[in-house]
Amino acid sequence: MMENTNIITQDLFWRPERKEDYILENITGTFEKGYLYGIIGPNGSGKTSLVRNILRFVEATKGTIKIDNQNIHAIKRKHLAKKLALVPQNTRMNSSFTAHDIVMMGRNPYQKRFSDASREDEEIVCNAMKLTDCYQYKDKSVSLLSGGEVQRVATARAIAQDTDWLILDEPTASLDIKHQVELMTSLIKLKKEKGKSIITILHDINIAAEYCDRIVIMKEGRIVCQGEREDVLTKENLKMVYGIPFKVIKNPVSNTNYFLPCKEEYQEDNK
Amino acid sequence: MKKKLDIIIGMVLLLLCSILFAAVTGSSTLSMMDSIKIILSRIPVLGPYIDLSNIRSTYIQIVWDIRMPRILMAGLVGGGLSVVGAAFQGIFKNPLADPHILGVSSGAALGATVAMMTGVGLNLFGLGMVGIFAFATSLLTVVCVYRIACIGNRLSTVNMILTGTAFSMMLSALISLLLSLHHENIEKVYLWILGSFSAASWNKVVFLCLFVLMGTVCILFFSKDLDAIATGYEMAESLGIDTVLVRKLIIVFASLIVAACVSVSGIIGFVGLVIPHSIRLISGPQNRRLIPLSGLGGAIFVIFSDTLARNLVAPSEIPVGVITALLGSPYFIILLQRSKRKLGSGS
Repeated sequence: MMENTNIITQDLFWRPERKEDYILENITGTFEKGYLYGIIGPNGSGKTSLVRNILRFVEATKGTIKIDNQNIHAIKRKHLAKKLALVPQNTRMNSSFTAHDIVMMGRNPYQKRFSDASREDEEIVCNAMKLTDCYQYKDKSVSLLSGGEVQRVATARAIAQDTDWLILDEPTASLDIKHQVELMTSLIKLKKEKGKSIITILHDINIAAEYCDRIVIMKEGRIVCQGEREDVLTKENLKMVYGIPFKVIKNPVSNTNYFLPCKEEYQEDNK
Repeated sequence: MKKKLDIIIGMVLLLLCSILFAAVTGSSTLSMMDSIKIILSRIPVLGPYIDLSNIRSTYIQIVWDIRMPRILMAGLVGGGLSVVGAAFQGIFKNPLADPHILGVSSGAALGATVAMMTGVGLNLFGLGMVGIFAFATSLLTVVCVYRIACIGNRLSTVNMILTGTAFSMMLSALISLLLSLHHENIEKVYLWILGSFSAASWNKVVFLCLFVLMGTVCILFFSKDLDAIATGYEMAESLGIDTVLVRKLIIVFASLIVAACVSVSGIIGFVGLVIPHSIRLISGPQNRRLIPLSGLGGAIFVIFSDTLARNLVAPSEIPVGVITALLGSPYFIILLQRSKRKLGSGS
C-alpha cells in the first residue's frame, strides 16, 4: 500500500447480530484521499450500512476496514474521531442546545474532560459555522431550527471536528434546491482548499454526476461498480441497478452528463 | 461565565438557608436563637466563641442529634435522587426516566419487606437489617435487569427501561404476595415504602455521604459525554465517545447512589423526575451545570418537604414521599404547560 490515508475495505461482510442474511456482502474497495466520492444505489442497497461500518458503529462480521493502514478496530475511538467525521442522515435534534453548542461538540476529541473551549476552538467553530452559512443563528436552540438549518449546523460540527475525512449520509435530502447547491459547492471548496477527502451518500444521481469525482454504485448489499464518474455513471449501469431506463443529455451549465429517468413506453418509442 | 457562577452560589446559599430553617422549625418549645447557637457551636472555627451554658442539654440533643442528621439525610437523598434522575434522562435519552426506572426501588422494597418479616436483628454502619437487605437486593435487581436486557444485543436502552419496568411490577407483586400471607406487617412495610427520614442518625449520614458525593463526582466526570449523547448515540460515537462504556459506568454509579438512598429512607418518588426538568430550565442543557445544580435543587426540595412532613400534623408525621408527590406533581404539570417545547427534550 503506497497511499497511507486511504480507507480500504477488504472482503467486508456484515449482518446485524442474530440475523441470518448479510446486509453487506463482499465489499472490497478503496477510497483514495483527496477525492469526493458519491455512493449511490436504490433504497436498502446497503449504503448507510457501509458508512456505519466505516465509522465503527458496528463490527464487521467478516473482513476488515483499514484507515492509514490500520484496522479501524485497533484505533482508539477518540483517535478515530480525529480522522473521520459524520454528518448523519437524520439530523433532527430534539434538544435545547444552541447551534453553537452543537458545533462546539465537534471539538470534543481535542478537549480534556473538564476544560473550557480554547480560543482556537472558538475560532474553528466560528469559521465552520460561517462556511455552512449558519453563524447567524448560533445562539438559537436547535430544536427551533428547520430541517435544513439543523443540517447546516450538523455539517459545521463535522467541519469543526477537523478530520481528514468527511462522511455525509444523504446531506441534501432535507435541503431546498438553493441549499443543496450551496452544500455541494462548499464540499468541493473543502476538498480543494482544506484538502479534505469526502464520502457522501446521495439519492440524486444528477447531483452525484455533477459534483462527485468518483462514484460507487451499490445494489443488494454489494458494490456493483466503482470508479471515475464518467466510467461508472452510464445509462446501462443505472438501468441495471434501478430497473428503469434513463436517457442521457448534456447538462449545458456544468457540461456533465444529466440522467433523465424515463417511463418504459417512452424508451420504446425512441428505439 | 459570571452569571453561571451566580446561580450556583445562589443555590448553595439557598441550601444553607433551608438547612437552617429546617433546624429551627419543630414541635419542641425551642427558641430560634438557641437553635442557631447550637448549630454554630459545632462549626470548627466559630465553635469556641459560642456560649451554650444557658441552653438545656436536651435541647442541644434535639437540634444536633435528632434534627441535624435528619436534615442532612433528607438533603443527601434529595440531591442523590436528582443527580441520578438527570443522568438517567441523559443516558436513556428519555424525559420520563427517573431513578427508580431500573427496578432499584422495587428491589429495595422487597428486601426491606423480607427483613421486616423475618425480623433479624443485625447492625452494620448503623444501617440495621432492613437497610442492609434493601441495599443488597436493590443492587441485585439492577444487575439482573442489566443482564437480562443485554442478552443478545450490545446495550439497548429501550430494552433496559422495559425490563426494569417489568421487574418492578414483578417485585411489587411479590411484595403483595408476601404481605397477603403475613397481614401483621402491612402497616410497617407500607410506611417504609412511602419513605421517611424519621430513623435518621449520624451513621447513616456518613454512609449516604460516601455514596452520594462520590457517585456524583464520578457521574460529573462524564458530563461532556452526556451532552454529546443527547444528540444521538451514534453521533456521540463519531465524536470519539465510547457510549456503551459511558452508559455502563453511569448505570453503576447511579445504582449505587439510588441503592444507598432508598435503603435509608424508603422510596421517595417524583424528586428525581421533577427536579432535573425544573433545573434544566434555568441551567440549560449542559450536564456539567445541570447535574450539580440538580443535586442542590433536589436537596433543597426534599429538606423543605421533610420539614413539612414532620411539622404539618405534629406530633405525628406525614410520610415525606406523600409530600414530595403532592408538591411535585402540580408544580410539574404547571411547568409542563408553561414550557411544552423545552421540556420535550430529553437532554
